[in-house]
Amino acid sequence: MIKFLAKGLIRDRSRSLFPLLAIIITVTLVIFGIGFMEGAMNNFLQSTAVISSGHVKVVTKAYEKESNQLPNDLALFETDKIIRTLYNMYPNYFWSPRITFGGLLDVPNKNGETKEQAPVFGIGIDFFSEKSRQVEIWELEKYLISGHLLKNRDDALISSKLAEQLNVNIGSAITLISSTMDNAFTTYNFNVVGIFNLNKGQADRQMILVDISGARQALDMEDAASEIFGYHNSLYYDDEDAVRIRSDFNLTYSDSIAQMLRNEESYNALSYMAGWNKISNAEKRKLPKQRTDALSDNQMYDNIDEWEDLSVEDPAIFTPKMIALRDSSQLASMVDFSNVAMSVMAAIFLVIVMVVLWNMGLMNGLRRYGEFGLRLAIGESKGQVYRSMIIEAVLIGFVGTLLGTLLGVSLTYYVQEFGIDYSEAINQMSSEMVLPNVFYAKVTSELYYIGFIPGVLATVLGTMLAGLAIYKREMSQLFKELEA
Amino acid sequence: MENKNVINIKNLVKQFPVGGNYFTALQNIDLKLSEGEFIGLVGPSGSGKTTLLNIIGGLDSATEGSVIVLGNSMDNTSHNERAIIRRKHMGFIFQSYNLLPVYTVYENVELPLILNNMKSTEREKKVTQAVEWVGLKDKINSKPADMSGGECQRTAIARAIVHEPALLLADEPTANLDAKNSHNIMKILSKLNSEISTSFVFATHDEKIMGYLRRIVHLEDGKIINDEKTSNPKSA
Repeated sequence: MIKFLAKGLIRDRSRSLFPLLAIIITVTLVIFGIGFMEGAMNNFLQSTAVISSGHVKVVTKAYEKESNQLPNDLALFETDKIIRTLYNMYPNYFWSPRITFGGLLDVPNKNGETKEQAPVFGIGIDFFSEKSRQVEIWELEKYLISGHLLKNRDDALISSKLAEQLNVNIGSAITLISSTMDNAFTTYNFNVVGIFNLNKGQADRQMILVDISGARQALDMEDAASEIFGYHNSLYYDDEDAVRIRSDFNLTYSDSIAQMLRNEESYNALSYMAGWNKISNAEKRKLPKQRTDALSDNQMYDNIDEWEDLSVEDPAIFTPKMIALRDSSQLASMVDFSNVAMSVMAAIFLVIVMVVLWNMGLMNGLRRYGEFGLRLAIGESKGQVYRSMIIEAVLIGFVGTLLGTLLGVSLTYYVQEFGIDYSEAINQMSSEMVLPNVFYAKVTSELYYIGFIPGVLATVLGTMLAGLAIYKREMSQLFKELEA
Repeated sequence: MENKNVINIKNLVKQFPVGGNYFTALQNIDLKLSEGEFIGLVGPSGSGKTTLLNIIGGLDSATEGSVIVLGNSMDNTSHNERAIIRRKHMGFIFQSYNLLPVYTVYENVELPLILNNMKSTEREKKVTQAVEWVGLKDKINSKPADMSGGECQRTAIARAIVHEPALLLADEPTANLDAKNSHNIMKILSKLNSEISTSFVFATHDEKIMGYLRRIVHLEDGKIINDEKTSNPKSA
């Protein structure tokens, strides 16, 4: 009987080919839709993470408050030590120091006089360490449009927009005019060895990239960094995990200090603070004992409000503090919205597809009432007819879903590798958010099974519902439909 | 021929719910059918002949009364038991042939044998024989869409008799056919009736086939108004 039914199934295109095509198309759409939404959101978050926030980042509390000013006088000290601690605490993440700086970029002529000048947004990242994955996450090899990556401390990469503006080419010398972390005037010469275009809208309009060692030399920031960026080893932003480690770090590494200050030692600290407020940040940094004590013995505290109430500047302003991606650039609402929107869109998409396939199963069943009547008359039992319907639906659903999944995942993989280029649209937008020009889909594990919900479940449920009529109706009624 | 009862119906009543009331389709039907009979249930539309045929075939159930078919009380059998009775001992012929369009003549005729779990070699023999009976050997690999109405109905007959059932129920088997094909069909059925010991029950109001019937039961408004044996029926 199975062979007989299989023969009919293969020959009857309205029972096999068309439902199969409908399932393949809908499952492919579901998978690609979800994969693209996931990927696009991850691209957006990853772009923001690479350029401005990391999945998490560690800064001083003071730096966080003034971060839009790029206040390197409030930067982190002893970054090697902090990074070692971070690796110990969170081995699933990799950590990299970064110096972000502003200034003027001066391009001299043959005589050494200013030929062109423009404001610059510089980023010093770790190009040379063995552990560093900065070249990988910036995808610099892909985005380098001429020249090569850095080989020396004084090499620099310049964005194509800035290079065009300053008429700079490979081999040009450029001079950074900026201030050190002690607020002293500084100039430093870099050699342009490469020109890049990040394909991220306006984000790289005024950007140069240098090695952190060059930035440290230029800005007198030995063993210091504006921020320490952390990325999950998978490079996939997991909001829950980022929030978890942020809370954990701040509780164990920062907030515990506040607790200590509530004990009797805080009273002594208070009297010390009266003098603390009268000296500059630069001078504070030159007090190695105080700073060392503060970092190693946690002789700082977190509750800034209490100190402000006492009109005493918080000595904990240089405490390292972790910030998750959602905390920066007003991304919290964006991340929450995207999570909800993604779930809602995926759910709506799934429901629509399920309704379509449910109906297909239902209609396919209804269309065959006559055939069922005949088979019942010839002597098949209701159970046999019903079971054969379900088996057929499972078979069609399963094969369709497998093919749809294969097609959907392949399509998603293709778009994951090659992306869809929205350069023109993105370049028209002015936004503080870092928007990628090219959106890539993301093949996630859920894509391998999500298609089975509409593909098999909805099809089979629709068929089962249609088949219930076999039980509910008198066979003579099915016969009337057969005769109709 | 042994005078064994194939059908024994006593005081049959069938009512259908219509709105808040009931419509009585059959009332006080008493009918006996012996093995090998060639009987017609004759009457105008709405007289209850198809309903009676459905009840005999176990496709519908009686509201009241007793219906015994081939020794089985249809009132006390489950759906599955009735399906087995139909599968093994009954054949059906419909007005609109009801062939499965994606299957060939051979495959359509083969279906009842597959349901009876017959081996393929035996199936082949029986199907070939049934197709020969109805004169469709040259169309054995054709599909219904490629055949005439008469050929389709002959295929349906082959499907109904391939497992040599004890009872064959035919509901208006010639209604969609022209006179020539109607006579052909009736000749085939009449011949089969004399060759195999199958009993035939027709529901019909087609005057053309009346002459072939050996017994005519007249129905009107759900009642048997006349039950008579015919003299000199036509034969194959």
